[in-house]
Amino acid sequence: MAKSPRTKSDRTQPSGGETHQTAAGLDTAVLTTNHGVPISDNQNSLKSGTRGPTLLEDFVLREKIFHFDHERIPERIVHARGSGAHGVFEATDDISDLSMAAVFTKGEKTEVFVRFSTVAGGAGSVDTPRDVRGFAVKFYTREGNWDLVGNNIPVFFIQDALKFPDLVHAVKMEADRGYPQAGSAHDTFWDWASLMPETTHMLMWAMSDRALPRSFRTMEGFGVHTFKLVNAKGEASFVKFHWKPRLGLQSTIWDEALKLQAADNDFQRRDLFEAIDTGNFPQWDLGIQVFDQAFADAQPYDVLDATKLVPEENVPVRLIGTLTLNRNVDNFFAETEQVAFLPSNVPPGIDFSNDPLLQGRLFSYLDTQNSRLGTTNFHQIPINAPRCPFANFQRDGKMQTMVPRGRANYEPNSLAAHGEVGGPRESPVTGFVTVDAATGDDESGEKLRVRSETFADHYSQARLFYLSQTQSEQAHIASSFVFELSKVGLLDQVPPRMVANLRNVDEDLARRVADGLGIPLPKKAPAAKEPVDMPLSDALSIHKNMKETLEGRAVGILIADGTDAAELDAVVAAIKKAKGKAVIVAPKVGGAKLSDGSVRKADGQLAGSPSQIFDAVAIVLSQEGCAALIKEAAAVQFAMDAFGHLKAIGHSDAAKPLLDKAGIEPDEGVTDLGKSFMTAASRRFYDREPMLRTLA
Amino acid sequence: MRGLGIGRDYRRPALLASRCICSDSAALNKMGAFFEVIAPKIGGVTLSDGTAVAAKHKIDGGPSILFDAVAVLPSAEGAALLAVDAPAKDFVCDAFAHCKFIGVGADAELLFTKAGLAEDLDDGCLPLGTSKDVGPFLEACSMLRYWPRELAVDLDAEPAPHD
Repeated sequence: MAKSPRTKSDRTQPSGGETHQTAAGLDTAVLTTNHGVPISDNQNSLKSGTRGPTLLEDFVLREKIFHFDHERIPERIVHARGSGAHGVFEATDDISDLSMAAVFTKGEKTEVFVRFSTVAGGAGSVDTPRDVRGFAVKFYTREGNWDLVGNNIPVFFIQDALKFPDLVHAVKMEADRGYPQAGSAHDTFWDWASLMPETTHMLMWAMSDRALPRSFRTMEGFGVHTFKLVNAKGEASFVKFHWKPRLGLQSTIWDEALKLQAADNDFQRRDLFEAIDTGNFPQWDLGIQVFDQAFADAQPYDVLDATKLVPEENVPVRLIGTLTLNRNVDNFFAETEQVAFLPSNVPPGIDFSNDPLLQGRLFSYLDTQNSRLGTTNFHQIPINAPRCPFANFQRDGKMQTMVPRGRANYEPNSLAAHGEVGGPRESPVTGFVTVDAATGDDESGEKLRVRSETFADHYSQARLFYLSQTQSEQAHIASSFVFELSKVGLLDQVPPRMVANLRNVDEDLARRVADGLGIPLPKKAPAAKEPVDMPLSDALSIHKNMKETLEGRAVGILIADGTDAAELDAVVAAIKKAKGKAVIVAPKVGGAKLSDGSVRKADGQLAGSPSQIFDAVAIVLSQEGCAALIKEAAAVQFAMDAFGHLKAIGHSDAAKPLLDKAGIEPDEGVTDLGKSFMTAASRRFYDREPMLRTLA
Repeated sequence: MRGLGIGRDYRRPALLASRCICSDSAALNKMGAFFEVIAPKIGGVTLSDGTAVAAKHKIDGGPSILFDAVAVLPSAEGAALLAVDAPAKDFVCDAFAHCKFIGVGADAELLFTKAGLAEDLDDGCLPLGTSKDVGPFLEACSMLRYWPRELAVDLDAEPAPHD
């Protein structure tokens, strides 16, 4: 055998100048293959000669590349873009008269995993398109997992799951051209939506600021469907689930959302991660609206119709627990990507209604998880596994990680009587029992492929939603319809057809949209059922439910060389005292030299920290600093956008020329750096908007 | 046809029109460039001679970042309308900050004033008052960007100081 030309110690010498980090001398594990074989060199593949071909026998190279090539799994067909976190749910109210579910036992703490998402865009798409947000919660209860797979909007586009593929095909990127990504402002969506009057209520929400949440932390969540709560006696009540954010509601405006796409694709993912990372744990209260069959029968809508909500003014939301997100994921793929939500996961005490959208979802989610995760054993992945014991006779399958002992993979069996493991058995007492009673008329009978007449009112709640908004919010809805329909190329048919539907919602809205499009008002579309006027609901408005606070919000402080140190310190201290986050922005991330000669490091460079990422801004400049920044488009834009996005702007006297350059007209939201700024910074100035933007 | 370097069709001059005269569309076509009309409403605008021109984009749906050069051609009345519209101001501010050539219509001044640019207009901002102006503007556009402006709009563009 020929002698090796190089000694073992030689092999650690980088003959090509490449970087080698070795385990020796480091308190670290030795790198191995997936099968445990130690690896000597993680820089060079095995070649014949120093410059020869790579050898097929190089199992280290082959395994590494093989594994890398298979890192991705199919992304979710919808809700592909998501951000997750761990937390805890604590039940705070006794509802044992309504539900026997252990998760609702007062004082019970249940581990949860939450995933927020957009709907239309792919996994790598932006966080701030105009879109519905998913709000999915997996409760690892001691009676099995409960997945409440909801959205930040309480109604949906369609009434029957049979239409789901059509909805999603229409809204996703168009089939031939592969665009647009993550947005509904295109031909196929509006073509479809304008032909589907049942979408109208959802369109009101989707065109409102609800589809532009500032943060996951400032949006509501909803279970969407009517579910049932079941008590120990087997008595059922209808229930709608709500998540109420402790920080109140807050959304961006459209121009701000667009500019956030440019400034930070991951704006909401980062916000969630940083909030948890800094101990500012996001919280929501779980609310329930409980009602009985008599109430349901008395409403002008069908509670089984997912395009309808139950106004909070009719059935108040009762808060029964608190969700706290307190731990970021350790690994995005293992947890956020592999988490598999199943609306069919309910513990005893929670049951389904006959909502035909929910009924379809009970199948769809189980099916899709097998497609994504590649095995029926996806429940064994740690993020999906129940935290309570679970046992059955399902066996084998791809990626089986459990090792069942014994022969008991069938039932009934008498193996236990022979001293062997006999396996688990059903439990009529503690097991899940489907509520047996039909809860209303026509909930059983002949096989019919028909839509119930009780689903035919497509417009009353759309009108309720629109008319319950503030003037500013109505303008945003009208403007969103105009913006989106202006992106539709099928101009002859689609926008007029949509506006014809809107005439059933509100004539003023329809006129505004037609005028904004520059088209004549079309003839009103016939309604399947004439809408009725419902009492207005303040709960449907974001602006009426915002909190005037700096808690959870960020203030960008623009400084430059010469900034007055005392002035800056006072602003930072005041923001911190109000539980806000003070973020210092300077032309250079290294910081700025202040008036007292000290250097203040910046949290962000100006070009990378535009004002859209903040909730309010302070511009703290000296005369000299202001003169420099007037020559910096990013600084002018910083001020201009803060003004355009209706934010408070506090400024030093010397910063005034920058504000003038940005065309800022002084108003209530433009203040000095004193107390008035702190008051202003806790809100937005919607009254400013008509002065600076043409709204429909 | 490839004319003065503007012939590649991915170079997209934009016309921000509000009751505008867009007599330069023929010239653009002749050079092989393509243009898109942006207006306050997708339904378009009525020009000074009474003809209607459809818009490709509503202003907030057609920001200047999508284009290689822009021409701003409002009537005086149109300029007043655009001057109080943040997306219209962004349209010109961004075009200016991105060092693009800007054709400035005879009645466009108010928009530039309100956008804080009136005193900054430079050699990259060319008049588009009459049909005679069209040629020089398009010729300039073929250079794609007016880089000397960068020093005036970006502190980072300044060379590092020498000790």
